[in-house]
Amino acid sequence: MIGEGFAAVLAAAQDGSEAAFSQLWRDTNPALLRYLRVIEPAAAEDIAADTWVKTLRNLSGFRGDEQAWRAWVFTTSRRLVIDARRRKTRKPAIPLSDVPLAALPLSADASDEALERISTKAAMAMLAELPPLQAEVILLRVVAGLETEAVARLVGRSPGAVRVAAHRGLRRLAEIAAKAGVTL
Amino acid sequence: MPNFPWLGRQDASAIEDAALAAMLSGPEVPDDLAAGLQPAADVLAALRARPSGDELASEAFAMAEFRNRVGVPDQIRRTRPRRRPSLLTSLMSAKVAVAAAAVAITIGGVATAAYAGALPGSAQRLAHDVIGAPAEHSVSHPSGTGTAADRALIRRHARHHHFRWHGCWTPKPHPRKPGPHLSSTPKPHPSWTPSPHPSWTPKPHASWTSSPRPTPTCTPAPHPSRTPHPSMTPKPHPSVRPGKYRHHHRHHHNRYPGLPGPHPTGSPTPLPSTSSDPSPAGQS
Repeated sequence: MIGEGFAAVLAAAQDGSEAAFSQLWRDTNPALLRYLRVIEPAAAEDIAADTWVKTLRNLSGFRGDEQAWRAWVFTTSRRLVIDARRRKTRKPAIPLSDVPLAALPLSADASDEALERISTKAAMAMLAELPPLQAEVILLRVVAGLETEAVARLVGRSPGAVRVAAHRGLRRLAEIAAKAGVTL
Repeated sequence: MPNFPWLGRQDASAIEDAALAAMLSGPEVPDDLAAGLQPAADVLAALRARPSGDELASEAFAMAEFRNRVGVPDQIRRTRPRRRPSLLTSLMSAKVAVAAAAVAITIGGVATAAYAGALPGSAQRLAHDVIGAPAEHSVSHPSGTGTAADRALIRRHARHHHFRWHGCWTPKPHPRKPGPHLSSTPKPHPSWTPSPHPSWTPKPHASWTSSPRPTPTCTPAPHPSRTPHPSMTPKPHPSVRPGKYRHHHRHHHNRYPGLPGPHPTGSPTPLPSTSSDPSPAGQS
C-alpha cells in the first residue's frame, strides 16, 4: 500500500508520469497476480495484462482514494476472469502441462526464485482448497487490502455474508494448514 | 419441544470473531490469538510477503502500454507541462459558442428578410447595396399602402436608375393630378429613345396630328452604337403605346425580315396564309 502519498502519485500518473505509474503498478500488480493465481490459475498472467490495458484506457477519468483504486483494479480483473471462464467453456484450450518440458522457457535463477516463493506458493495452494467464495473473500481482504464493504460490492454479496465467509474460510484454512503440517 | 440443531454451529469454537477480523485487517497477529488459528495466521503472512521477481516481470509491458496510451517520458514531460483547461475557460468557451450561434442565426434571418423584401425602407436599401438583395421599390407593398417616405424613396431610386440608363432625368408629372397629359393629345414617352435601325423607317400617317413635336427634354447620352438617325422622328399614335408595342414590333421585324413593317394605325397587317395549319384536314 502506498498510503499517504497515493493521491499525488495517482495525479502524477494521470498527468503522464512514468515513474508515478511504475509505483502504482509495482504496488498493485503482485497482489493482483496472487489473487488471479488462486481464482484463475490457468490465465492469471494474461488476465493481469488485460486488466492493466483496461485500467490504462480509463486511468485519466479515475477519481478516488487508494481503496477505491484497488477496488477498481480488482473489479476490472474479476470481470475479465468471468469473461475468460465463459470463453473457456465455448473454446477449450490445451493446458500448459501438456507442453513438453523442453519447450518451456527457463531462466538461470529459476530455482532460486522457486525457493524464495515456496512459502507464498504453498499458502496459495492451501487457499485454493477452500470453497471459491471463501478463498476469494480472504484474498480480497488480505492480499488486495479491501474493506468488507468494498469486497461485498465486488462479489455481489452483503457485508454480513462476506464477513461470515471470511471467518469460516480462516477457520478452514487453519485446519488445512494444521493437517498438512507445512511450516511456511 | 422441537429441536433446532443448527442453533449450535458445527464449526463454532471459542475463538472470537474479533480475532478473525484482526487477522484479516492487518499483518499484526493479535496477542490473544488462539493456538488453533496460528497456522492460518502464518498462511496470511505468506500471502502478504514482498513481491517476487516474476510478479514484477511484466513491468516493461505495462510501461510500454502506459507510454502508448497515457504517458510521455519524464524528460519530455518536464519541458512540456500539460495544460488542463480551467472551469472558467470551459464556461467562456460555451458562452462564446452560444453567442456565435445567436449571431449566425440573426444574420441569417436578416438576410432572409432582405431577400424577401420584408425589411424597412432604409434597411432594405442597405441590403440592396451590400448583399444584392432586391431593391425596395421592387418589393414594395402590393397594395400601395406604403408610407410617404417609402414612396419618396422609391421615386428617388427610380430616378437614379433612369439617370444611369438615359443620362438625364425628365420629371414625370404626377398621375393623380389632372393635367394636359391626360388629354387626348399624345405625348412621347419620356423614357423612350429611338434606336436607329437601317431596315426600319417609320412611315408618317395622314391621320397623325400635325402638332409640333414637343421639344424633348431628355437628351440621350452619346453612345457609339446608338447614334440617332436624324430622319427618324417617332410620332406616337394615340392608340399605340409607344414604349411597349413599338419595341415589340421592332423586335419581330428584326427577327423576321420578311414580315411587313409596323402599321402606322396600330392594326397589324394580316399575315399571308401558310400551309402549316395545325388543324388536321377533315375537321371543321
